[in-house]
Amino acid sequence: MERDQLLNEEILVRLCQLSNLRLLESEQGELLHDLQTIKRFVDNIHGVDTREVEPLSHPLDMDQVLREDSTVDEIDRATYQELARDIGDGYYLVPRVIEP
Amino acid sequence: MPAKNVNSSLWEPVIGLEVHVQLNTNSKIFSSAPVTVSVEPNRAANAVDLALPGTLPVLNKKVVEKAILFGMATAGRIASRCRFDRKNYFYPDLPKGYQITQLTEPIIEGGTLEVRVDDGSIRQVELVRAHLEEDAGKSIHGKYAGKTGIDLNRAGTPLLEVVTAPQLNTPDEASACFRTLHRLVTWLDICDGNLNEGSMRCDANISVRRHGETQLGERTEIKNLNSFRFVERALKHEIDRQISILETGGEIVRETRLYDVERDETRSMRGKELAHDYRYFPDPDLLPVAITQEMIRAARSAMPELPEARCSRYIDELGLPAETAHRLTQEKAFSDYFESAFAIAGNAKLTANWVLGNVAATLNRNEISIENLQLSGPQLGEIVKNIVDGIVSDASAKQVFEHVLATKSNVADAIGQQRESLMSDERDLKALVQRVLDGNPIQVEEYRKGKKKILGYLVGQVMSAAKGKIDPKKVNQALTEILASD
Repeated sequence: MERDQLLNEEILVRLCQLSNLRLLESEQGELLHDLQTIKRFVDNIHGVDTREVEPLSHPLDMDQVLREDSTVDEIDRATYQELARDIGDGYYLVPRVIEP
Repeated sequence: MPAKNVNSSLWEPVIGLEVHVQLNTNSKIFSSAPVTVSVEPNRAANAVDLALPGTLPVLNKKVVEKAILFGMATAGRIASRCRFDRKNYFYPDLPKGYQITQLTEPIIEGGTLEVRVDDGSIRQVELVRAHLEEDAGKSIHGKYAGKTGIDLNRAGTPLLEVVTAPQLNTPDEASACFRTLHRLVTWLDICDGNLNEGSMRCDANISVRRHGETQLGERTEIKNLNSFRFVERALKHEIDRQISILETGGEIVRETRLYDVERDETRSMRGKELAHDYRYFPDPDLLPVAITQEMIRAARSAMPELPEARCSRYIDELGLPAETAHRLTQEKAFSDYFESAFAIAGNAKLTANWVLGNVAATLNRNEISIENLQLSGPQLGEIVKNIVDGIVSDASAKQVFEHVLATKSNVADAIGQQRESLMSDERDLKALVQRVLDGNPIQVEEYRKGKKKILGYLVGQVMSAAKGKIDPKKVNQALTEILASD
């Protein structure tokens, strides 16, 4: 979305499609209002001139801790697969996808 | 589809490779699940690999060490700090919804690869970068009606993606470059090099331009080439395809293509102009990685003598022919075998002949690798030393070699037995000759009177008594000796 572009119902419906969300008509008004507020906030941030500012990737002035190369986990597949909606022969099954 | 009559001499192909090198660690890059290909689906995928809420990635130290080793071996710049980014795309074999990779601050930048082309000349191929990332899982299509099976065992496997500059000009050069990279990463023991299992996968970017032109043509990318031969064949095909399009006034479409091994052609996979916006951004779950001086020092002391250096040493110091030196340095374990044999035998040429001859033939015949050979480098050295010292002949040494391989006995015993049996053969032969002479007194008498032709008859008698299992030259020699001594 472009800066200062108004977020309308059409865009909201498209966003819901992209996010795989089923939205009730009664929820649309409130969500649209919330998203417009968020969009104004983001546009405000976009308005700040950051050309002279060095990008910050992490707020903490620390380095990553590394892990030894050992395998410690017992993989409890059955427990993990209880969380899945559909499984078969140990695979997680998802709606058919074509090659990306 | 590809034109058969393209005039390829007018065109210059420009090729760059991106090779995914699977690092041979025990555990995954960001989780402690094992890296393995040989277990049931999802037995090697833990909560981090499944992207369960609340899990966090923790970087594997070995992965960083192996990347540093690669950077050092290719004279690349090793970052003092590097960073991980998220590459967002939605596909079920990537349960987080993003791949953790390195976009802006990779661990290695620059470097060169010395590539020996088929004609023996050396090309310095520049490397653009080598960065760390995680592999995705596997999708199983067509097995379940209306569904796709997901196996996340491979998810989180550490990869080092090596990107070359677009400096390769022929399919042979590209294949040689891939081969050189394969030799290097296996030599450094950072990858098992198993192409069949996808331990190294190559993507090739390819464009063509008229000779003399400086601007690059529009390129296509061929994905997932997993053998040296496929790199060569896919590129040959793609070059012809591009040239035939350009020569008939067409335009190359920037796209990703797949190589179809069965039909020996490439075909479009998806248009790159429609490529996803991956929305890269720094992964907030992973802090920047500091590469310390201590890590650099450790890598330096772990660095083996590299294949090119070893090859030059064989030529300059051991006096081996270039081709021999080159063949001995294709694989580290093989080269180490030669080293340990040579250390005992002391004769480089003879040891090299044995390693490239009898040893290599045995490996081929039994389809085994040098690590599984039942005769160690020092044992071979001992055999060769016995030849050098004149204790055994080349032919007997071959028998000793086969004997040790078959019985796993030690070399000294095998040589002892060999000599004993040679001597007993000799004693047996003399006894046999004597028996034949005793049974043919008239012929012996005639021979002694000067009828030398009779020797042929006597040789035939001995041969028939030995049922032909004897060298007639030796019989001849033994007969002459005994007849002369009586």
